[in-house]
Amino acid sequence: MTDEPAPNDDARLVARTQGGDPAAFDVLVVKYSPRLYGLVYNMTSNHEDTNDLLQDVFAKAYRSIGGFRGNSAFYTWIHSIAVNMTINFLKKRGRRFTLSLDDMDAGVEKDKDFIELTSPTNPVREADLSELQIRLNEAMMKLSYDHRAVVTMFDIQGMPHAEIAKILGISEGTVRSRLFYAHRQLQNYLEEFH
Amino acid sequence: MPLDDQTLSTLLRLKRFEQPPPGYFDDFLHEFQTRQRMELLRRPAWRIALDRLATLWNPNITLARFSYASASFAVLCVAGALTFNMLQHPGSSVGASAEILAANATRNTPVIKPAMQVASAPRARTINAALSPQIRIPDGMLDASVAPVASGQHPRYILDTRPVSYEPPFSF
Repeated sequence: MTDEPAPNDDARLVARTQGGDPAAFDVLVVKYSPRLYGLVYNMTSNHEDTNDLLQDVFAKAYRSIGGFRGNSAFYTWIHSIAVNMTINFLKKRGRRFTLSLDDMDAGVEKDKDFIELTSPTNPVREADLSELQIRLNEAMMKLSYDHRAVVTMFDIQGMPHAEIAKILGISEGTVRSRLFYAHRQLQNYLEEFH
Repeated sequence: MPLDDQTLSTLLRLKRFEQPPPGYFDDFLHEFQTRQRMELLRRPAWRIALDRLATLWNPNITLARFSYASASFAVLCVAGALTFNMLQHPGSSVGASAEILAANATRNTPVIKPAMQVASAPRARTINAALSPQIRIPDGMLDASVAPVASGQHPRYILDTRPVSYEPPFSF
């Protein structure tokens, strides 16, 4: 499930930005901020940190866009900036962090996955929504930064392996391998749900 | 017993529903624009100059964008050529003045200051004869007791170091 934007539109907007039209970059900001917010938020589990980082990501992209030659899609390029800046931030932050979670959208209660999870036959049913959210985020924070990045992009954002590989500059095999180990770790951390 | 893969994937997909408050992304763009402007104000002059140079060499720039620079350059070239031409050719007013001064200097004529000139003049008529038609000193204003200059020697009177112009003055 990816709603990857049309690269031609992006290429035109990038060319306009490079030609000195900041309004074109604003369109790119509007277009990519929800997706990049999800990427950074799920790697930090902190709304305030995400907001600051996202501002930095777009500011850096704007400063560097003159050097963007279009060898990759803008989508890939800006995701690479976001992932690298987030990992650098997490390395600096270290283990001292507090969760600052966004509210679950009201639409979750109509989601078939959620309905299935909270059905009487499902063992997860007893965990209420906020508890479930906290446990999930705590488990995510126990993963290494690289593992967290692939889980966020693949499981939460629904990107294909090939796209993740391009963003991280690694092979698809490495992406699959990281996902495998990350899933094993998460399954162990969330064992208590059973 | 650990979670199965299917349940884990389902749980992780639920994280998509964690969303920032409504209106967050509208505010985000506004905050980004404000921050960009602040950054522009804080930028050092050398970086602005570097950016402008880089923009000049940007291949996406069309010829029309060079028009102001080209026009300014052309005006500067013309102004420079005219200035050079005026200094080189003697027909111009500046050149003529310089020539007169040079001629005076080569005649070994003592240059007398205006005050001394009047004192050494033999008669008012002589002074008036030496003056230009526009400037006349009344006879009564000159000291008649001034000793005349030895006969046969006609002193030269120079009232100013600047050459007299016979051109009519500007009138507004």
